[in-house]
Amino acid sequence: MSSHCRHLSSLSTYVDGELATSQVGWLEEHLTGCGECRQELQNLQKLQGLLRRGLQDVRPEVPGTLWPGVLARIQGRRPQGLLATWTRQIWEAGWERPRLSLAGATLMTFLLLSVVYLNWQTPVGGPPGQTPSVGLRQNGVVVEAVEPEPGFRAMVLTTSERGLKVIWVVPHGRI
Amino acid sequence: MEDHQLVERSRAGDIGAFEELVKRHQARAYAIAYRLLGRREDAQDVAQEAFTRAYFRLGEFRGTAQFRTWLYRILVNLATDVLRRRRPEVSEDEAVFPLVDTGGNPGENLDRQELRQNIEEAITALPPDLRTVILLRELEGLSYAEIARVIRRPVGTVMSRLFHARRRLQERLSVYWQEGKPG
Repeated sequence: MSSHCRHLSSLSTYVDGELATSQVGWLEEHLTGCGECRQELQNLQKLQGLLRRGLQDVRPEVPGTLWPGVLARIQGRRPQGLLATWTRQIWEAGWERPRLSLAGATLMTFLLLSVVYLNWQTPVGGPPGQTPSVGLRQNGVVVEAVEPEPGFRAMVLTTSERGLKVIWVVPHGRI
Repeated sequence: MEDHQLVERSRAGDIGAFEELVKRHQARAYAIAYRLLGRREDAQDVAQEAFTRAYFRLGEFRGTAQFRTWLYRILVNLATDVLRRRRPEVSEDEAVFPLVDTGGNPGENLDRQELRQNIEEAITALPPDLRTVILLRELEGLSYAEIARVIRRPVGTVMSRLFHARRRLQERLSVYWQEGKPG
C-alpha cells in the first residue's frame, strides 16, 4: 500500500458513486495532480468491470426443488409463539445496536446494585445515650423513634448516602 | 404486482403469492448463498431456510426497506452461521471451492472461462465478512446503505470492508493488470 492510503480508500467509494458530494470535488481536484491515484482509479475501474463480467454473466442454476422444499418446510413447521418471537427480536436488536444494549445493561446493573446497597445498610443509631426504639428502612431512609427527654419523643430520619438527618421532636401524645 | 403487494397477500394466507415472491427472488438469493458457501447443497439449504423464515416473519416486515434487502439479511445471517460452524473443520485455503458453473455456454472461449474461474477463486479466498460485502455490491448492486442494513453494520464499515476486499482482489488478480491480458 502506498503513502496515499487516505485517498485510496476514498477512491473505492468514489468508483461506486457513493462518495459524499462534498468530497467528490476535493478528490477530483486531487486526481488531476496525482498520477498514483489516477492509476489506482483505473485499476479499480478495471477490477469492477472484471468482477461484474465474471459474476453477473453466469449465475448458478437454481435447483427445481427449491420452492417445493420451502413449501414442505412451511407446512411442516408451526409459527413461533409470541414469547419466542419477542426473545428473538430483543436478541437481534441487541446485536444490531451493541452500544445501546451495553449502555442499557450497564444502567440496569447500576440500578440493581444501588437497590441492593441501599437495602443492605444497617440502621443508624439515635442520639448518644438513647436507644432507638424503632428502626425502619424505606427507600434508603432510616426512620427511628427515640426519647431524648422525658415527655418528648423524636423521629429521626437519616439518609444513608449523605448522612443527612432530619429530627422531628414532639411532645408525648402527639405521635 | 409489486413485492409489497405480494407480501400483503402472503400475510393474509395466500401461499400462491408467497410462491411468486420466492420465484422472483430465488435466483439471486441462491446465487448469493452459493457464492458465499461454495457448495450447492449448503446453498440450497440456506436459501430454503431463508425463505421459510421470511414467511413466518412476514409480520415483522415493515416495508421501510425493500423485500430483497430484508430477505438478504436473513440469508446472510444463516450463511454466516454455516460458515462459522464450518470454520473449525475447513481452513480458509481449503475453502476455495470450484464455483465455476460447469453448465455454461460451450462456445465461450478459454480465456473468458479462465478469467471467471480466477475471479471465483479470488472471491472465495476472501474472509467471509469481506466476501459478503463484495458480493452484495458487485453481484447484486446493492447501495452502501442497503448493504449496511443487510450486515447490520454502519455504512463506514461497509466502505472499509469494500476497500479491503478490493485490495485483496487486486493482489490476487494482478495478472490482469499486466499488458496483454484480457480485461
